Amino acid sequence: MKFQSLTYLLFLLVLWCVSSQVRSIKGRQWVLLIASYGFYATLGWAFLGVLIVSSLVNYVCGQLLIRRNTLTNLLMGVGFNLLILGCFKYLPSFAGTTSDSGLGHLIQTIAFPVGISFWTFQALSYLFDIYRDEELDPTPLEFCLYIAFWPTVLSGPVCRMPEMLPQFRQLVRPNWGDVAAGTHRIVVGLFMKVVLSQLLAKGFNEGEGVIAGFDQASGWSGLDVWTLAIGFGFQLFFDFAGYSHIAIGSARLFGFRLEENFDHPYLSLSVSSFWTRWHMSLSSWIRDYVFMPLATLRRQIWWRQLALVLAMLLFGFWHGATLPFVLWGLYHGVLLAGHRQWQQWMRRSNFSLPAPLAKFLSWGLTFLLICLGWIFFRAQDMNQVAVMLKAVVTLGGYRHLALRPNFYMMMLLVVGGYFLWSALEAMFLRLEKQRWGRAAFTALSPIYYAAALILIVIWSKQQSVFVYFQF
Amino acid sequence: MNILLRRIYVPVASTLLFLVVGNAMAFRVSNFNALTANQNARLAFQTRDETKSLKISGLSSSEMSLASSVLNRDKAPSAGRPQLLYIGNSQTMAIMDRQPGDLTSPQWLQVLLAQRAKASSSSNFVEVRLGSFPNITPTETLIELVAAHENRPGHVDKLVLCSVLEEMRNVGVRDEVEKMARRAPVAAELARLAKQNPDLREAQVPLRPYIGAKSTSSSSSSSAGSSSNAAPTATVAASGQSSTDFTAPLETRLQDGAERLPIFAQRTNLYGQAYSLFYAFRNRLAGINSSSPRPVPPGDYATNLQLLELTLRYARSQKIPVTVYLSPIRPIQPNPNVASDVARFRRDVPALCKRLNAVCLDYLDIVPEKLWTNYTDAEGQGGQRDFAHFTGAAHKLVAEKLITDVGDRLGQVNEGSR
Repeated sequence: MKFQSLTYLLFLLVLWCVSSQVRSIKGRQWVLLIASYGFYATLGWAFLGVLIVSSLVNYVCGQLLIRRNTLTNLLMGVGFNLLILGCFKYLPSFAGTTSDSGLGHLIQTIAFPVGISFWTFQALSYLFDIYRDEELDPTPLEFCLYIAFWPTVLSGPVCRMPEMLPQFRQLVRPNWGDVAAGTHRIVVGLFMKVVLSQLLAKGFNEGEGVIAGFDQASGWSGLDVWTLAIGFGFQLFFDFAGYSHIAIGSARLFGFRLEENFDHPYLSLSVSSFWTRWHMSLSSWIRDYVFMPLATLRRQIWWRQLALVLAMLLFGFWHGATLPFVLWGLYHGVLLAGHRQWQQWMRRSNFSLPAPLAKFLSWGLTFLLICLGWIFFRAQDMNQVAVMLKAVVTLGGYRHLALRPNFYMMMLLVVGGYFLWSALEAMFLRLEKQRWGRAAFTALSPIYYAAALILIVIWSKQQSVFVYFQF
Repeated sequence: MNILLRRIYVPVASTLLFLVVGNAMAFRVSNFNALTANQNARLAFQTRDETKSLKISGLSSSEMSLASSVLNRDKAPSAGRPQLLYIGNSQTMAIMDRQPGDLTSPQWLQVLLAQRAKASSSSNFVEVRLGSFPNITPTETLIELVAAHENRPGHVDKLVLCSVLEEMRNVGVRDEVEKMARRAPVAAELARLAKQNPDLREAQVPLRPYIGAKSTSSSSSSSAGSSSNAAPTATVAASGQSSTDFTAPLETRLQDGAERLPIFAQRTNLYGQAYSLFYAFRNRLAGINSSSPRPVPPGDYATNLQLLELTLRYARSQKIPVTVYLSPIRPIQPNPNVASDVARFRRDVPALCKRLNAVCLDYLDIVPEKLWTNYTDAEGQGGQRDFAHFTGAAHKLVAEKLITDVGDRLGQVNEGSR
């Protein structure tokens, strides 16, 4: 069952009606858990089995930790999670590249439970929090619900037990505000995912989108590569942020507040700022459970920089056990470390630019560096990475265009439209604070919703590709 | 009361606006035809029913029936008759200023082959089967050939391939062809082809979503997206999703139910209309018309040449004799086909065919100017020239040229076939 299906909307409606009739907290938890398992089961009964086993084992590990908070018990739990992640996610990949034997082929056929990286990291955060003496005492039911909670089970946001447990323990009656906000988020999410992301991915016609652009064998110019990198960056953003909107909106319909996952990342003025706005739930997980423990092992600045790079390497590896992903993580680690050095240098020096110019340059450089990194993320293999980067750095590689004019036009419309909308959004937010502004927006909002829904319906015939589904 | 009004207003107004405006838009595009929307209104795609009802002087009713059957893609082959698959773009499917009695090139080829057989007192002749698609790309050509041969082995004994320079600019695969590619025997054969032809690296790139080689596909469609670097087993999971999703029948029913609303029923046409509007906007903005040069990007050309080679290698491995002809180009300037691209195409494709024992016929210049047409001013396209399609007489000309040049090869019925 996909988020962008009519079945999912029906599922939400039915579940909402049923859960609002339940008068007990435990009853509500059971309803939500059964619904979550039913949702996940649509992806495969075997996958559901893995999810349930992982939930129960992690719960037991947590109980052991609560009783005896030792490093050994923690490592046991961590080891189990890394083992299942390794078996399902990384082992088949390694077998594919290193072994041509019968066993290797068999290992490659191991199916990959969707969302395993996300719910495994949620389980790990629970164990780490207990080890850090957080007072967490979920029942097995609450823990299983925390892991399997259907809005987040497939692709996050990566939740934390301290945030979710109090909400699971309240008999929250969703109010009108929750329903309105949740519906708004779902509509916005569907528009981003079904319309904008698909438009960039496939173009108006086959062969005119980012996908076709990357799947061309060769011949890109430097400008082609930049445009593709920016295009993919936005395709990924609309897809994943759209998904996150739907997840957060779905949870909000039931009165649950989930962590935000994106906050206008392409308006960031520095790489550091970008990582506080992009996939926020995972980047904060890496910060809290990898970077901070590593960084505090030693006092030296060089160690903190190295910890940053190592943390980002892990971030890259989380996405996939291939060199391009690892290099992507390394690239961002180096950028982050470099930015810290730059900040220190700026503080020591007297060099400054006029504020608007400094802001524009910061934004421009950050935007281009982030987009360049997407080449590692998206390219088919290292060969393609090398070819594309060569086109970027070769001055002569800007003399021709290999991609279709339609692609450039569409990119201009969508990306330009996004930045224009972001500028208008800031203005709308200021106007909305006025009483007349609020009334005007309420009066006009049906136009916005109707237009979005019409476009969603029209584009729904295009099959949606959710890029993050595999992590 | 105020709060209640505010709460009811947004959802009710949004729903009403969606239904009213959406359905109104749907009614407006109910006659939209994606095949002809951006084409000259005088272009007509040939259909079976239309052909059946034609009466052409000099042709018998059985010959007319044969001509009609060419357009039946699912027809069962007649016992003992070799099957000739004819693949090309819309130039092999549509006729400009269609007159009563006009047939397309594949249909004329069928009629002429039947007449040749009759003239030599044989009741057995080659049956022509249409495998063309509008704007067919070389990727789709390969998939179409493999699907035709693998899904029903023996359904392709000969291949006539209309190789179009303009289509060397495209690498995409439409949904209809993608479904063919994802069927197990076809996907397996594409994977085998890719493995056995590692030198054709560029050709493998558009095929990756279907052959699972270092790429993954999501549950849906043609693209690997960034999934190319992720665990290949995501493919298994992804394909497993759709096969184990027990809500799939419910989704189908809900979608069918939703299509009672005009806006849902006309989604495809609405999308097509949006696409047409985008093109019109683009053309107006950039001053593009039908004569504007459309160079073939080097990367696309290289990929598609390799895909053509892979197609020919596959045909050779399956002992399918291939006849390639370079699709006619309108002989005037300015021309969207850039001279250097034409020269390159004219050099590369025959050389490729020669290497792979395929016959290559250069038909680039065989259709004279008088058999092409222009858009009329009345259609709002200001006398622009149509470089893509020609009249019925040109279709007959192409078929007759094929018979003249390779009639024996095309019409040969081997002993023991079927």
